[in-house]
Amino acid sequence: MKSNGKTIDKIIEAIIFASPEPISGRRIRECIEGSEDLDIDSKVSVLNDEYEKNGRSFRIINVAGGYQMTTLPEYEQWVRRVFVARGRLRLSPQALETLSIVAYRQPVSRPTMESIRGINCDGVIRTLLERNLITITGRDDSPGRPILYGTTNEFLRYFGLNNLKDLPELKEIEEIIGAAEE
Amino acid sequence: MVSPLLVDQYRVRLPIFEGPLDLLIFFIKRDEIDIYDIPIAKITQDFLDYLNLLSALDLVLAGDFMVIAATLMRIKAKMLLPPVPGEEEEDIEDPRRELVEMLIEYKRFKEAAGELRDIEEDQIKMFPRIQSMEEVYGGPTVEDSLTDVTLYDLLETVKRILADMPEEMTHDVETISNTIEEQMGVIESFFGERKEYTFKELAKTFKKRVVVILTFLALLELMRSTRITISQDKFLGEILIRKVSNEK
Repeated sequence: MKSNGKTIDKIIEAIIFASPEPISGRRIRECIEGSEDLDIDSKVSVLNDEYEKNGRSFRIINVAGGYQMTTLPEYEQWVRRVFVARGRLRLSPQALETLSIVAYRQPVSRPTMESIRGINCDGVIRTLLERNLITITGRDDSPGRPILYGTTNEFLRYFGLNNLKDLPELKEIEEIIGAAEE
Repeated sequence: MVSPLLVDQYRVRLPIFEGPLDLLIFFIKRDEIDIYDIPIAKITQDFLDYLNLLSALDLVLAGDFMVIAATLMRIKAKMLLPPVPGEEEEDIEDPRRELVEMLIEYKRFKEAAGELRDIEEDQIKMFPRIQSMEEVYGGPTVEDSLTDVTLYDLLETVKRILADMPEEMTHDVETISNTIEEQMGVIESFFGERKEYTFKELAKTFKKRVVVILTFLALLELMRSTRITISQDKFLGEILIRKVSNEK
């Protein structure tokens, strides 16, 4: 398929390259006339194969419901220095624990998080809100109408997930016990 | 009291716990305990020892640990009670059940957090090609934000900002030099040669409302110590202050 001598792969590449955030397949098709039935995934694979063959330092990944260009992990030590001011701080164990409860149990209230962790979650929730990994999604109908939290698109992006179904499965009780006896 | 030396030893030896449940899971793993058959007496003791240490170090954290400590002790007490006679053994619920369920639920999320950590470690090494939204969608640049700005626009803006500013409120608090004791003296000296006078007469001599109130309190104090009596002939009527004669 050609469009004025430019291959459709390269047009898709240009759109993904220029997009400031993960761009969905639907949105890409909207940008290209007559592409309603286009399989973006297969075109992206073609591009990625080409990048690999030519030893490029980036790939197109599927994240937060869209496509995005990203550098390969082996270039981290240099690329990281570009973002000194922004800082890519890892989450604390407390934040990760709380975040995993929000991710798997959303929408979830603070009392629920605290009863699972057995510890006050006030500060951790604030950190997660500040980092835009969780957001307020509503209020529960239970007494006191506690605020409910859920994960954000930034959460998907941060963990490189395409959607919430990509989360690793929560272990079953049997597996948990098995692990404890190891 | 934990000696500083002991604290130092523990500080080196004890791993960091994310909370009371994490600590319990640590004990269970360390002692290779079957989670469905927790030796509650020993675990409670270990837990309380750690709690003692914690309260010497970090009180806020210790509060959350207290709740679990109370739960442990409640379970321990329940297990010491003899079973109710006549009740079938299968009918008796293990007092530890609730705790076990809590621990398992917590452990599920702790492990999920571990998996998220692995994903984070991988992801943090990859840098997405992201520009700021403004760069792409044409947020204000220095040039176009300053074109067509007139002096009038500036004045309007300043006016709006000033109008939006919260009004400054000041409260002056005056210190009152008068005391109840002093006012008691004033009340007594106001008799002069008289045996009685009305509170209104006395109050007229004060300029500040708060002094009138203080004097009223002084009046009550004098009444309590029976140095004066007061009478009022009707509701909200004149208060008559009468000296109690010392000569009986």
